[in-house]
Amino acid sequence: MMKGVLVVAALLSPFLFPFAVTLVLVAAASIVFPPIALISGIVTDLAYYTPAASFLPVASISGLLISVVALFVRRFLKARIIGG
Amino acid sequence: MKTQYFRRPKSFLSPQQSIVAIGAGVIILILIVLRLALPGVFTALFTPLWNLGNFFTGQAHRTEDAATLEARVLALEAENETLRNENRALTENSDDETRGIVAGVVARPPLSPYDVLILGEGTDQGLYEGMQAFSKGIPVGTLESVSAGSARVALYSSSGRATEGWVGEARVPITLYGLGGGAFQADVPRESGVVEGDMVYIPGPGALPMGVVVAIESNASSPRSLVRIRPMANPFTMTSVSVVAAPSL
Repeated sequence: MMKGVLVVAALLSPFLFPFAVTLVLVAAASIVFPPIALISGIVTDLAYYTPAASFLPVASISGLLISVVALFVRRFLKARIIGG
Repeated sequence: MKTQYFRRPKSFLSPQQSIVAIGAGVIILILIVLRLALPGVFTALFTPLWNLGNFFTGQAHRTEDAATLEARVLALEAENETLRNENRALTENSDDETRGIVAGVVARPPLSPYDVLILGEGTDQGLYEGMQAFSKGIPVGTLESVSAGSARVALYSSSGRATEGWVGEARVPITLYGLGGGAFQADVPRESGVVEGDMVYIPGPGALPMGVVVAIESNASSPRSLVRIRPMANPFTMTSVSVVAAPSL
């Protein structure tokens, strides 16, 4: 239940909270569900990105990086739980 | 004979995960194409969520002390009367072109990671790309990706955006670089005579004041100084902007 709320909050956060809060929520939610960081980044860019404001779609790229890191963290945690 | 065990190297993604990843890639591609072709679709889709955010922000501000608010109301009423008289005098001497189109701001920093304002008005109200946006007479940015009912304003303070301007009474030419979050910096010759408190201007109908020099960082070994500029209009609190045709330079 809490995991679901965290994922939904991360998805809605770009429209409700400052970007710094969104970043924290997305980082937390991506441990539960890694693709949420990429999805949230894409949603942010769909809403706000304009080439005049930034050369690169920074939110999507950051989302992709967070997703990849979260995927590795999850694998590491799983391996530790099985190994331990 | 010793039994040999070969462990198959584990692939990073399973076949199922690969299919999901390819599907996600296709969806992302479709979304990007849709965003480029119809920039207003997503703004229309997201507007109810932005309105919800604005509603909550408004509720939070209502917790101010009643007595403080009453005192503020009295002060504002007096100020309002003065401004109404001033406005009447100015309106009589101006035409529609200089007044511009007033557009409500639906979303602003720090909601967005970019220095962008989302406006609730678009081509239906006469807006088009390249128009200049003003907040209380201060130039703040230019219109980008305008659709029927919405527009995005890329602020001059967008990270890395370069804007030509002048500083001080001597009108020293400078290039303003946006730092994001409404801040700017520029570099000027150390001997230019720029001091803290100097006004910064950008081109418009004449030279439009848009910021103030708040700090000058100089190094004895460098012939140039770094100037930190604070904008006169705060992008974090903008609720509406006035949009006018950009001047032909």
